[in-house]
Amino acid sequence: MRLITIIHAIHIWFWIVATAFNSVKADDVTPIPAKAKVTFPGVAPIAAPVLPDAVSVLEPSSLFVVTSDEPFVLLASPSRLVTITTDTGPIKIRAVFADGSKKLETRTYSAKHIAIVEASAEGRVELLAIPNGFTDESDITRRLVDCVKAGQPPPDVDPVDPPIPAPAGVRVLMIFETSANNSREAMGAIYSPKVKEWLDKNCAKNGTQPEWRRFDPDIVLSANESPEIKSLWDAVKPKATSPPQVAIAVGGNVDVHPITTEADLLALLEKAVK
Amino acid sequence: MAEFILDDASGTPSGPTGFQGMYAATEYRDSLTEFPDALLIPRDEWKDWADQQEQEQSSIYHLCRAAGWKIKNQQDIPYCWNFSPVGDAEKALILQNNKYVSLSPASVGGPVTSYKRRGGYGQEAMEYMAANGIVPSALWPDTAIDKRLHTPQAVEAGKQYRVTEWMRCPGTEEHCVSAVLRRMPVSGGFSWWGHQVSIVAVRFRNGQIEFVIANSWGETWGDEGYGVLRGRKRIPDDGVIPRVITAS
Repeated sequence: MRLITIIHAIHIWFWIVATAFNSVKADDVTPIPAKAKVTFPGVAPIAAPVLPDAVSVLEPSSLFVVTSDEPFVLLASPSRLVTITTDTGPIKIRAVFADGSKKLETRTYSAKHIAIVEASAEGRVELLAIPNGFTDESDITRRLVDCVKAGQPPPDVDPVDPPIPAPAGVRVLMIFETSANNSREAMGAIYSPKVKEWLDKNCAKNGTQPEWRRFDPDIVLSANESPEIKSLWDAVKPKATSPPQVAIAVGGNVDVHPITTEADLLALLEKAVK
Repeated sequence: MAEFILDDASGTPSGPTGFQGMYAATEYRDSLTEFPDALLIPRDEWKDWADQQEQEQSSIYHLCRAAGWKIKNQQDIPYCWNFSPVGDAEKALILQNNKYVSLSPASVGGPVTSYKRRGGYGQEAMEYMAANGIVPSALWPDTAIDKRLHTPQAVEAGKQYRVTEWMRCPGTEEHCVSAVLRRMPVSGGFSWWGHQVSIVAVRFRNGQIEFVIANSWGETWGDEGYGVLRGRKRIPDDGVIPRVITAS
């Protein structure tokens, strides 16, 4: 606490801007459950979660400010490397900011909820912003931050992107044109409860959702679709010229086979994981 | 499977409806994709398809119930023409093995009607769902006809659930049976009922074809919200099929 007090006394002035909000009459409006938009420094406001694909550096005298218009909890792992204080906005802060020019500057944060992170020891820490009322892991925004000494470059940062490892686990696309005249046997295989049971049991999971799809080539993938499913479709699209076909990805290997019957499809799946 | 029967001897069930007949079949013809004849299953194969799905429990009805799909309740709003196709879009998500998300019929019917309580046509709903998507119920309650809910956040969320491929299903037995046996839920409009409901399974009983339907009158209607149409009552006058929905 003493460290926080000293740092604040040297670098920071907070001016709380008193803001009066008119109450909204909403007797006949059903409340809309809020999902927080959490903004990390240097990242545009987002609704979707941010994967830890960027690393920021946090020096001892600088601040890393996380904002949201909805209530959220900011956690650090490991927790001993940083201190986190919370406040409410609008708020004006004069300090050195982790995403700033490394000089003192004054910023106004208009978001209603603010969390301020300060480095207290060296090392890499993962920050997790968890909106109140979150229902799914994808609601959590994550960010890796390296806490370093003043003027020190981030540790072990390779200027070249490291190779992306092949995703672990099994992923399956049953590719078929829903507007094509598929046979009863093939449709029986594609919608077979036994096949579904096998896929639910053996495929990798994205949250709780097994990573397999019944997949029409005409489908438009949304921003929320699993990146591994998107990558798999990109990889097999050139080969998926004679649906119905099944694409089975195990680690980095992808095989594409025709779909004929339930028994054949189950045999292909079993063989692929052996 | 559902055993709540509506046949030629049954009266017309009373409840909130909203289907306004065949008008849309001509009104929207230019923008429609018709159910292709190439997908018609020969009549002598219908029983094999239907029996297989009933035995394996692999009909739309079975697959969606197993995945936890929930019957909606349109309460006193004449929006069956939104509840049925939106429910079918949810089923399409499940059939694709995307995460089941409850989607809001009012987020479609509200903008289409300029937030009025009026009946309409499945094609109206589908046109809107194809252009704008459907907002999750978490952001827009199912029966809230309120334009204040049309927020930028809701609009963005709706784009993640856009029906990208849909077809009109003519009101013939051949088209309805073929679509449902191919696991395409048909949102059928029934003039005798003035109502639009989803056909989710085809089955044979005593040599007769029956359609299992999912209504939008809550789980207290019929068999936990489901019923069976038999005889002349089973053939809809018009229908729409959301074939592919944006995966999310």
